Amino acid sequence: MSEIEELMSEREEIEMLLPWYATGQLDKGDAARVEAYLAQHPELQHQLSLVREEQRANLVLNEALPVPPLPSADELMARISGEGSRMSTIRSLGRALTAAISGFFETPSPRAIRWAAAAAAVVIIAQAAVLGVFMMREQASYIAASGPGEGANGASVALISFADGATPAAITSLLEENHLRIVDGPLPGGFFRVRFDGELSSGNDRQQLLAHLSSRRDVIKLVLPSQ
Amino acid sequence: MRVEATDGELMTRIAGQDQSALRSLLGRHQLRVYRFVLRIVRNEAVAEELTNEVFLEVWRNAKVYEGRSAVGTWLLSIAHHRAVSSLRKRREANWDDDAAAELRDESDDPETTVQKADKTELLRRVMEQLSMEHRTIIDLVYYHEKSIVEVSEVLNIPANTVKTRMFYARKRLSELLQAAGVDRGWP
Repeated sequence: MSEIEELMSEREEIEMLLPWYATGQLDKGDAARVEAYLAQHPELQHQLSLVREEQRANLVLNEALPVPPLPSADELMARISGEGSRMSTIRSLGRALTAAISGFFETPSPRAIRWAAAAAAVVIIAQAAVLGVFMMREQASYIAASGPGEGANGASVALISFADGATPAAITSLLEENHLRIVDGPLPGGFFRVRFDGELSSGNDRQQLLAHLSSRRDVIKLVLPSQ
Repeated sequence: MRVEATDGELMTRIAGQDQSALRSLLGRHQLRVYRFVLRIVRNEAVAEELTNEVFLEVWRNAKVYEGRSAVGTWLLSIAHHRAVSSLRKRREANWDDDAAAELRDESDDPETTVQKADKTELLRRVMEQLSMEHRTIIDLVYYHEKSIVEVSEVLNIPANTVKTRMFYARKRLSELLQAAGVDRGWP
């Protein structure tokens, strides 16, 4: 292989790794390799920014998908029943699954609960620590990306990511001023789903709220509409 | 403070026919599995049915889960297999409604697309036009945040194929955007 071919090959390999670099899914060795290449070839930063755009769009696309309808549990129970399980087991599992689906729509997810705890801490701990909590990845216990109840009742209004320089106090204040609370996150790309606790009488109200949030560059980096 | 059971612990309990463990696993993963399947089959009723089948399979086969991959990855692997099989069967049965829907997506007028000024929205629309294979890998990497090895497990393809498929999916995205009048400066 010629030197030029080798250089091209290395570049292609790095380009192929960029999506996983952006999502933090490379092992240490490959991540270091990408970082070193990016440092030497800053023109590749453009491609990294394209990857991040793609991830954002993919998040919006997936978050706009519906949540599974309630009859799923009944369907599942009927299938289990058809397999000849003991009736007592079926009835018990049926109640359990129905409760699971109901709970799915009525209660905050464990992730949301974890966020609530983190949000309470926001007021009193340093921003760096808060951001650390925000970005913490818990792959093993990753909960459904949308708080299911939020998608179901339509009250979720946006996905937001916070500005790098936003202080915990400013975040808390902005959320309170606008009757918003975070119900889920962090989602891919470092986004959080926020829910509006008031009444939005029209699509215009919603648009105005989103526009207002977008204008608060001191606190919010990006606002994306959510179902 | 109550400590949540890990997915692996839930699987062990499900293998012992513990219904509450299945309930917990369902609550934790149902939405992601459903959306993953829905993006492949593009039919809500079919996606719902297949999602049920995934959890039924978990109930039946929990004992064979060896913990070599994360539970979430294993679920997506089952889901992918079932979704692709379902698509194949429907195509063989000439399910024209779905084929027509897919064709409509593919032929989305570039002029209509370019009118969507917002870049995220435009990208989102273009992503819908990708082939099933490209949509799936993009979802696995960007939305489900799976590593190369995990994607390889879900799709049952070699790691190098994962990398090249993702690369070509992204390249196709750029081509579709170009056709819609947006030059991204890559490739």
